[in-house]
Amino acid sequence: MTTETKENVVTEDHAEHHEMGFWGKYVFSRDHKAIGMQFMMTALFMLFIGGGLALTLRMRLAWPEAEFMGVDMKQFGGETYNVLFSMHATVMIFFVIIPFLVGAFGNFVIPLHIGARDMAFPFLNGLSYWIMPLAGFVMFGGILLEGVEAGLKSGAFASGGWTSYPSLSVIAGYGQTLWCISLIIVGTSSIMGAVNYVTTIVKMRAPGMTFGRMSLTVWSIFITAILILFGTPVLTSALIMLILDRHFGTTFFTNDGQPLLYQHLFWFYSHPAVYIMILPGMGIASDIISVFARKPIFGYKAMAAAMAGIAGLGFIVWGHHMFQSGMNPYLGTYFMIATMMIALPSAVKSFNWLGTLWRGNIHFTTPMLNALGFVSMFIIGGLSGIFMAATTVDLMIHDTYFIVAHIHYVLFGGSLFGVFAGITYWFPKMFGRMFSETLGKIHFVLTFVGFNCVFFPMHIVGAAGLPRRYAAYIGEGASKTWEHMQPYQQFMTVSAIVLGLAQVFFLIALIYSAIWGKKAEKNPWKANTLEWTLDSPPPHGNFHPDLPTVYHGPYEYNSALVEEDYLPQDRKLEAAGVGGDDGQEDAPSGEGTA
Amino acid sequence: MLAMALVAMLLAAPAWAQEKSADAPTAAGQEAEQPGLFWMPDAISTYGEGVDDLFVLIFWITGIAFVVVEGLMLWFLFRYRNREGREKAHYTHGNNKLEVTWTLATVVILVFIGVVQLVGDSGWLTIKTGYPEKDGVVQPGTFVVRVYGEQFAWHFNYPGKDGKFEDQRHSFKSPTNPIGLDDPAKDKVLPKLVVPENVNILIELNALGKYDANTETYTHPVLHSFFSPNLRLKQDLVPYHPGKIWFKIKQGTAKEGKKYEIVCAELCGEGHSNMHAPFLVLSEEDLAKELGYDWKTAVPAKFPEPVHYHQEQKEAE
Repeated sequence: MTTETKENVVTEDHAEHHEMGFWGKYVFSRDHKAIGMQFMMTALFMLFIGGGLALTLRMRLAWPEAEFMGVDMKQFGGETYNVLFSMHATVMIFFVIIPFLVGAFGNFVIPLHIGARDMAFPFLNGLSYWIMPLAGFVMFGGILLEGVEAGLKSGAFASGGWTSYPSLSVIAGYGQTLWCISLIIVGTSSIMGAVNYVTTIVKMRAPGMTFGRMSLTVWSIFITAILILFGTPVLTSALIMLILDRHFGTTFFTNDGQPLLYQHLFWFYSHPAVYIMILPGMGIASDIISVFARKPIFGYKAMAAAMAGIAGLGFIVWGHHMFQSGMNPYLGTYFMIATMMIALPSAVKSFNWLGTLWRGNIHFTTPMLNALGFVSMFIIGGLSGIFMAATTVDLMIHDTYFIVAHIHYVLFGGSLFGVFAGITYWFPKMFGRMFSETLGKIHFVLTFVGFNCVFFPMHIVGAAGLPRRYAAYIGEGASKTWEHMQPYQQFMTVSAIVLGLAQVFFLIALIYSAIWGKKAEKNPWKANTLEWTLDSPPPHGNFHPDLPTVYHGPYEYNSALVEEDYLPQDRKLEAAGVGGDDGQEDAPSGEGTA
Repeated sequence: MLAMALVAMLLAAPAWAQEKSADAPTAAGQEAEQPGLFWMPDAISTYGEGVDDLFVLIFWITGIAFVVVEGLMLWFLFRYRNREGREKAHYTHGNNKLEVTWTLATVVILVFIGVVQLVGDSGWLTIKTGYPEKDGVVQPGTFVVRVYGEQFAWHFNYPGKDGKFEDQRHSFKSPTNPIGLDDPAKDKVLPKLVVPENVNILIELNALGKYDANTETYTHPVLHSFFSPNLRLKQDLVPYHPGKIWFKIKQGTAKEGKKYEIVCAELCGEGHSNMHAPFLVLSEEDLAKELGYDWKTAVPAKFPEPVHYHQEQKEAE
C-alpha cells in the first residue's frame, strides 16, 4: 500500500538542486530543514518579545504605583495594560507556540521521520514561512506608523485580549483591524503548512513505513494538521465578520446581531487551537521518553488513538469557555459532560507515559528532563482543568487567575517544555553539534523551579476569585477585595524575573553549543527513527541515493532480537521466523509480563 | 520530592495568607476580609457553601490523582534510573487489561464529578435557572433589582414606591439620570447594591451603551460580568440581551455588617479594573432607610420590555 511512495517525483526533482547560493539556501530556501529552522529562530525571537511584555505586566501588578530605574509603573495601567496582555497572549500563541511546534518541528521532523526527501509542496512550504513576518509587521504596524507612545494613545494596538470579544472589539481603535488582518494571515500560513503536512504524510512515506510504524511525533503533527484544516477557516470567517462589523456597517455581533455568535465561532477554532498547541508537544515527549527510557512506548496504539480522541472531542467542547457568558445553562450541562470526557484521553496518555518509564533504563539527558517536565506539568494543567470544566465550580473561578494558572501549566509547562525538549533532542541534527548538557540542565532546573513559583500561586489567588485582566489590585481606584493577596503578586513577579533570565541563559547556551559544542555523530542518542541514520546535519534531499526501507516500528528498544538495546527502523534482520521483515505487525502487543 | 513540596505549599498557603492579611495595613474603615475555606472569601449566599463543597471535592479527587501519578513517576525515575548493573530495560509494548482498567476508572470518576455538579440546592441548574419567577411573573416576596453595567460603572435600579420599573431610553441619559429612566423620580437609582437577607433576590442584568445627549452620539454597549466572590456567582451582561440571576443571602449576614463588592469580571476596556461597586446586606430597617420606602409593599410583578437603542431609533423615525 505504500509502494507508490517510492516514486517521489516531486522531491526527487527538487533534490537535485544543490547549488543555490546564500539566498536560496538560507533565506528563501525550499528545503524543509531550513524552513523549519527559520520558523524556530523566528519563534525564539518572538518568545523574547512576548516574555518582555509578560515581565512588564508582572512588574505593574506587583508594584502598580512604584518607580523602577526611572520607569513609572503608573503608565502601564488602563488601556496600556490591556495592550500588554493582549499582545503577550497573541504573540505567545500565534507567533511562538504554534510556529515552534507546528512550523519548526513539523517541518524539520516529518520528512526525516517518514523517510521522504522533502515536503510534498516545497514552494508552498517556503511561502507559509514568509507570510509569517508579514503578519508580524501588520500586528505591530502601529509602531511603524506612529511609534509606540503615540500608537498607544490612538489605539494602534489591539487591546481586547487575545479573544477580542465584541462589542468592545467593534468600538476599539484601528489596531483591532490590524490584529484581525494579521491573524487571517497567520491562519493562512497555518493552512498552507497543514495541507503540506497531510499530503506529505499520506503520500510520501518511505517503503515499509506504514501508518502503524510512524513515530508519535509524526502522528501528533498529522492530527494537528487536520485540526488546523477544520478549525482555522472558522476563525478566519469570524475575523472577517468582525472587520465587516467594524468598517462596513454590518451587525453580525451588534444591534440586532448576537454578541455570543462571535464567542461560539471564536472558540470553535480556539478550543481545538489549544490542542494544536499541545498535541505536537505530546508526540515529541513520547518519542523522547521512549528513547531515554530505552523502552518501547507503552500502548502505542492507545497513544495515537488518544491523540485522535482529543482532536475529535476538541471540536465539541468549545462551549466550556462560555459557561457564564449567558449561553443557555442546559447547553452548559452538555458541554460540561463532553469536557469531562476529554480529560479521559489526556489521562490515558499520562498513564502510558508512566508505563513507559516503568522498568525502563532511564537516562537523564537534557531532552529527557524537559520531556519529563512536560509530562509532570501537563498532569497539573490537566487536573486543574477539571475544576473549570465543572460548571458549578466554574461560577467562582471563571475569568480568574485560576484559569491563567491552568493555561500556563498547559501552554508553558506543557508546550514550552516540549519545545525545549525538541530543540535539545534534535539540536545535533540541526546544527551538527551537541547541546551542552551542563548548560541545558542548569536551564532546565531554573526554568522548572521558576515556572512553578510563578504559576502555582495563581491557583491560590484564583481560588479566592482574583479576576484576570486587571491592571492593579491595590492602590487608587482598585477593588478592595483582594488587597491582602498582594504579597503573592510580588512573589510571582520576582519568580517571573528569574524565569525570564533563565530563558536568556537558554539563548546563550544555544548559541554557545551551536558554535563550540561537541561535534555530533550520526546517532548520538542511539535512537531508532530514520533521521539518525543520516549525517548531522543531513544533506539537502535527506536520503541519498535511495530512500530507506523500513522494517520495524520506531520504538524497538531492548528488543530481544538484537544485541544492542536499539533497533533502527531501517535495519533488516536476517533471522527468519521472527518479526522484522515486511510484516505489518512485528511488535508483540497485548499482555505484558509483570 | 516535587509533589511533596507542592502539597506542603498548598497546605501552608492558607495560614500564610492569613498571616499576611493580619500584618498588612488595611485601608481606613475597610474591614480586612478573613480568608475562608481554601483562601476563598466568606460565602454569604445560600448556595455558596455548596459550591465550595464541590470545589473541595474536586480538590481532593485531583489532589489524590496528582500525588499518586507524580509520586509514581518520581518513584519510577528513581527506581529505574540508569546506573551500574542496570543495562537493560524490560521489553513490553503495553498491557491491554491495565489500559482498559484505568480508562474505565477515569470515566467513572469524571462522570461522577460531572453529575454532582447538577444535583442539590447548589446544583448548576438550580443556580442558573431556578429563578423565583413563574411564567414571567415574579413570585411575591422577591426583592427585585435591575442592574446596568456601562463603561465603567455599575448602576442599581430599584423599583421605587410604586413597585414598577420605569422604561429606559438611551436618549434620556443625563448626568442626573445616568441610566436614562423615563421618570427618574419614580424609581430609586443607587451606585451600590443593597439587599435584604433570607429572601429570594432576582436581578436583571443589562449592558448599557454610552450616549452623549449633547452630541447625540451613541456607542455600543460592551460585555461586562457581574461577579461577587462572596455570592459564588458570575454572569455576563450581554449587550442587547438582558440576563437574569437569583440568589438568597444567608440569615445572620446583615448583623456582621461587612462590606462586599460587585466587580466586573469580563474585559470591558481601559477602566475594567476600576469597575466595582459596594455591595451591602442590610437589615430591613437599614434597607428601608437606604431606599426610602418599604420594598415589601413595592414588589414589581414584571420587568419592563427592554428597549434597545436601535429600537429607539426606529421609533423616532
